[in-house]
Amino acid sequence: MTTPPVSCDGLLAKISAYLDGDLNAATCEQIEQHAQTCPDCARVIADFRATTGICRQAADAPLPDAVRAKAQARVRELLVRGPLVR
Amino acid sequence: MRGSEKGDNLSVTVAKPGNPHLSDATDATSAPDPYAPLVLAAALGDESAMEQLLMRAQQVAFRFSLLVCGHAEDAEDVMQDALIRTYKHVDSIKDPSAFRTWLFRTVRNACLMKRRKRVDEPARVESLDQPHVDHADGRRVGTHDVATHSKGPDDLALNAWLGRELRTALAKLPPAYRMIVLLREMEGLSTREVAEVTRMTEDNVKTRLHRARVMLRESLEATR
Repeated sequence: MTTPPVSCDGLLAKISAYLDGDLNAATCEQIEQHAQTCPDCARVIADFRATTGICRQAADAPLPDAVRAKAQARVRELLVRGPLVR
Repeated sequence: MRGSEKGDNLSVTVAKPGNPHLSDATDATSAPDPYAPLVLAAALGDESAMEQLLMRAQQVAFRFSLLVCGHAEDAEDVMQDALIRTYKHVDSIKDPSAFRTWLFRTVRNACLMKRRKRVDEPARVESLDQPHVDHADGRRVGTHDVATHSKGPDDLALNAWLGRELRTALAKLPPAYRMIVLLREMEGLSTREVAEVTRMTEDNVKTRLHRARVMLRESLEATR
């Protein structure tokens, strides 16, 4: 069964739902078929994925050294003395 | 030593948050919850788990303060608040899987309190909940650059930590959108969990996340 085509605007409106897995299989297929023949939309999908990847990568970054050292000192003090600092 | 009388010496393997979007477009799962096993072990007296949990709580507080509220000078207080509240809360938590949303709500509230205390700069106070969107596509006219507000000696270190391009792109988002990007994209919470933390509907979270992604993509593309 062939699925009806989706427009570029239609794809852009649904792209987050697509990437988040909120769409049904038929709609996903529409989007994938469109992306196969539309380089611009294929690039938009790739960009959205890359944007999420950049955010994810940033979340994995450790705390700056100075901030981390202070945080560790606070933890040690709390575990030794208990929550008396407030 | 807290909880040591319980005698449990659990070995805790902490799941690293994954990206729900990178590998499979139809994967709707949120990132694995890295906190629940730590909460469980810490409540049973595992001091190493408690240390890891307290460090993570502070890391969350630091990221939220800097990225959503944009005040480096508030981060220390918000981190301290998250540390103490987490320490006190661990023993009483009944459902370890609920800890993650509790932590983000706690940090969000601490940031809000810090903002309300800024009586000397009322013009800069922006709601974390209102998107301040003026354009139909979600963009805002004159979005205040709170996320790059700090211009002190920490600024270079913060840019090195997060990446200047992403920090600048996030700064262009309305605060409510930044909060959703942080929770959903960076911290890996599910839509339902983000809705719980922000007290928005899931539909509202999805709409704002989509607009934020569009804006982020445009900003990042402009810097390439």
